[in-house]
Amino acid sequence: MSIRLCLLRGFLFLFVFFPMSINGQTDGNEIKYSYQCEAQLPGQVLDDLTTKYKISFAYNPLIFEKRSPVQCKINTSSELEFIKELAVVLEVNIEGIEGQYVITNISYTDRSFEFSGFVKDANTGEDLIGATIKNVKGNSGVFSNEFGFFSLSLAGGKQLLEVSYIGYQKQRITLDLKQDVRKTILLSSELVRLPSIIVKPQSRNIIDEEGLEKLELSPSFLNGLPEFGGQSGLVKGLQSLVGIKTHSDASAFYFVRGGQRDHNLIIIDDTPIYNPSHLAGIYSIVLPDFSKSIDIYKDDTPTYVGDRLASIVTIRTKDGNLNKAIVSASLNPLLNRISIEIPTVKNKSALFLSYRRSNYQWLLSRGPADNSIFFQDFHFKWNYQFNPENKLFVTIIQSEDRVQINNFSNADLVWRNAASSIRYNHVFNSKVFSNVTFNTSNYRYTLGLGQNLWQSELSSISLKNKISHYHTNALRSYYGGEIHAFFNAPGKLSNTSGGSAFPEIDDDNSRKLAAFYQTVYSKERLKLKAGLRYVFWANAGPNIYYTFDSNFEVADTIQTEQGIYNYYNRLDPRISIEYAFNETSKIKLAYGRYHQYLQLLLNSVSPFTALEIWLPSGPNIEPQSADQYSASFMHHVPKANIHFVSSVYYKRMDNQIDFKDHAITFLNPLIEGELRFGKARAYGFECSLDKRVGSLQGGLNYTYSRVFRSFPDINEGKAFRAFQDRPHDFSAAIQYQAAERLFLSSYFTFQTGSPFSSPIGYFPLNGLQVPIYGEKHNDRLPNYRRFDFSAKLILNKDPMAAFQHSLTFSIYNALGQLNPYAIKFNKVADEDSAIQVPSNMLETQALSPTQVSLIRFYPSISYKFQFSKS
Amino acid sequence: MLIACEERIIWTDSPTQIDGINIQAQIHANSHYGNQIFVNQVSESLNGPFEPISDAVISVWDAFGEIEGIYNETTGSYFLESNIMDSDTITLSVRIDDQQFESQAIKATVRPLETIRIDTIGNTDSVRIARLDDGFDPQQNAMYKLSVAYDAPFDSLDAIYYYYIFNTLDINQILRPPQEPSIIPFGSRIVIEKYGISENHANYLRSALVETNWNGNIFYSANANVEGNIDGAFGYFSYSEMLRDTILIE
Repeated sequence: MSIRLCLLRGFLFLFVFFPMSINGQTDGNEIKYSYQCEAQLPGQVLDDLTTKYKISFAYNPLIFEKRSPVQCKINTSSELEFIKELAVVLEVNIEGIEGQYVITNISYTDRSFEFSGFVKDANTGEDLIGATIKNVKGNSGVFSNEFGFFSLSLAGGKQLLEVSYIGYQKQRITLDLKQDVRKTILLSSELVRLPSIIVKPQSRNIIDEEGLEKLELSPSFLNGLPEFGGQSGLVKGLQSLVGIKTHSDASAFYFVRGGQRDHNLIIIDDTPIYNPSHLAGIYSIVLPDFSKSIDIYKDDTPTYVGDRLASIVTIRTKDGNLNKAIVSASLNPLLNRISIEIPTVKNKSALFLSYRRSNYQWLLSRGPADNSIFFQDFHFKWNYQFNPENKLFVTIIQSEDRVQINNFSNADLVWRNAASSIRYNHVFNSKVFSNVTFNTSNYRYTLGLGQNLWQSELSSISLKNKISHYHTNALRSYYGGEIHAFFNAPGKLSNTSGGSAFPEIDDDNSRKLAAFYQTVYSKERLKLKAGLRYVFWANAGPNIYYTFDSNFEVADTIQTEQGIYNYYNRLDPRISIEYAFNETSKIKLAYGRYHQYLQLLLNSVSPFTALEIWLPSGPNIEPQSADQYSASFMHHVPKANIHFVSSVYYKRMDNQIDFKDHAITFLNPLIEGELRFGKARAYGFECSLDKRVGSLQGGLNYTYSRVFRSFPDINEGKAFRAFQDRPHDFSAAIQYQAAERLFLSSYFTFQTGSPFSSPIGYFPLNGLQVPIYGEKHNDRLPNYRRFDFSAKLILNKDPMAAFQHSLTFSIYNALGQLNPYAIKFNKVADEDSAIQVPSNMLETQALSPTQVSLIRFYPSISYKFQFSKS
Repeated sequence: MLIACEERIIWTDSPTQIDGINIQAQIHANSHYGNQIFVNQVSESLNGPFEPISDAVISVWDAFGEIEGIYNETTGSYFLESNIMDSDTITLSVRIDDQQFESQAIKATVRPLETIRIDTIGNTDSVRIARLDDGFDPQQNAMYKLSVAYDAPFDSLDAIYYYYIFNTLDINQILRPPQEPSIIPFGSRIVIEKYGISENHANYLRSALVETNWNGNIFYSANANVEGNIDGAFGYFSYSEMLRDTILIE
């Protein structure tokens, strides 16, 4: 370049730039930079600006060689702002250097962008929970949360992503990232012949698995288990998982890692259900067809989930089909259900309705006169997606059970659940997701005896906000808070005839304030989780409560005014560390502290609920606590698609509650004086082998576990085996697609019999033979064994037909095994072999030991159909 | 298939050896009638035998002095040689070899006799005793003993029925198992005795019923020993007022 040219450029720079700049500084409002173009090549844009405003640009023309025409409309009052906006339009860097604007290409690769959005079922629009979204080359990935939301940080430029979810076709996505991207990913399900079978197995990388965090009970697997009376029950399904023990046949109770019956909580769409059973446990109010995911936390429980010592089962219900209307029904001689899914606004809003009703009367009419069993439940779910950032869900669940026993007691038992939740999801930005939930739950239990009506009720309302914050691909955190109010009426008795006065049991009101924080750091083979849950639990007046002395006699009566009269503060730390040795094996160590503030006081060991009394922690009942240590190992065999998981645990429980011997629990205002407090210890080993893909699926589980309780005033202070101390527990669930339209399922379980106290002697009293016991739980019931079987035949030949129907034949306890849940020593048998307690105390008729069992060889047949219309 | 199935089983008694004494002494203050005390060995087997102990030295002290218990071979029990005189508190002493058992009891009052409902049984010549007052009365604890003789001259008894009234409700009591019906033929004579029961004695009887006649329905409590008030022995020593009546079934 000649000196003259340089001087000329320099002169032009001084003359053009500085005067303009000076003009801008001295009188910026008057100078206006305005440029507008439609489909103009970038080079031409720059030439126009040079002509119009005498702005000098320096650049390599190759930058714009393959660029598309741009569209722009820029109006600014200053040159600097104008240049900034111009850079955005042209997607280049522009820097002022020595009187010129130097233009260079933007390098996206050294910048990071957020790729976020939702993963959904392409057919139904349902959010997919736990889908894997990963960067194929970088090997970083995340899981979609319980609402299908994900957030992944990626370097700018071209990226190749893979999205996968079991039962769905993998999808690869190519992105050219120059800014944050929000996207809804639609996955198509695998071609299926039957709902619960995946024809094409997928290879799985164990690092991508969340398998050690929780147990998952797939609703389709649950549906595939042999039915009892037309339905696969949730509790029966839970018992097919490792480490979850049954109480006995037809019981809603289950035990997890040494916990008591009330140490488990079932949450449906963030709403607690206090009694999920129908018909004393034979069925549950949870519909497999209504459920999207069923997760069980036995340890390493997230701090945002809840307050129970043993397990929390969180169930997410389906949102309803966003694309087509579906009517389905199940018809069975004992139980019938109808469900409807309809999109109320296509691709935005859907409705799910289900009603189920029992039909036992024709069966009971053959038995003792006037006995009656009936239950029904209703499910409602509605959701509306306002826009990609905002979604609203409403869930309502109602259930009712009624049992009338008229042959000798004239008792009428009724229990009802009513639960509802309103949830609002909001995406603040690509990294922050919020779920706000308002829920109510009511459980009412009523016993009618002639003109007397006894009622116990527990209600709660709560508001909770949980924030999911995806800081980076390696680091995410969850935090938030919740407030609960509990309204507890432990027992009221009314008499319609206005007869004798009954003792009053005061209502209890409690409040819970919780704050939680949890962070998850996962990098390559290491995953670290740490969290803290803080709970403030308070008892609110007005109320009357009693204090007791060391002999459990009433020491004082306290009448409280409105406001808080007692409170507890508790901190629950949780920590776990997980390390993957390679793509097929990983290990996890976990520690957690847990508290429980609501307890079910049951002085009954029968399989059925018995006048449920829920009591909150208060002046006489400290919160129960547990410390659990666990270690787990998982190994995946890719070729066979088999998972092996084994765990060992030790759990120490304090402030455990039991009743004194022969406690008076009914209508007793001094019931807290009947309670005794102690400790429990549990330890065990669990292992499972699972195969969840392919035409043959199933799982084998084995658990060895022990539980011991000790109370100063029970069993003379010596430790004794707990009721749920059943050392050996084995189960096998096998599901097999025998033919294109034939699906076979079987389930076998074996458990050591429960401990019970058998007499070591007797003494007479007024003609009775009163048992004498030695050590508590000195004996065991016979071992429990059961084999169930079912066969399902798809009746329509075309699996994609709009109308689909099937026939399922099941046999519960196909081998007819008698599994006694009690052994008694107080009955006589008369000439007709009726087994009864004696009444004539003068007769020297011999008492006979008897055993009581419940269900033996129970066949059922169900017809199911589904009709869908787009 | 759905309803609970109960069946008899063969049970092997516990190998644990137990050596215990049972003393049942329900003493009443009705001066017209005698008092009976049972002392026997406990049994390791269901259905006994509950061997009576015939060489115990039994004394009851009331406000007026000591009353000895005399063993009766026929009944296998002890009868007090005289009736209890007007006392509020009495004391029991039982000595068997080198073992000494003592207890004290305060008199429990009794409310008037309730009307006992008798129901005929269809077209038969028998009746049935309906449950007395459904077993719950917040104002009292009481025990009814109905001694039935079917045929004149009513020298021997054919049946004894016990009914209990408690001022508390127990879940086992509400949903108790089926019981044999009390079938009494026409022409029978029923001697009705009503005993007042103290709170502690009611607790003892209720616990015993939880372990026996109230046990075995769909709801039942955890098993536990029944605690009496005689240190070192099973059984109970009680003292109460007693009312008595006699009816004929015609």
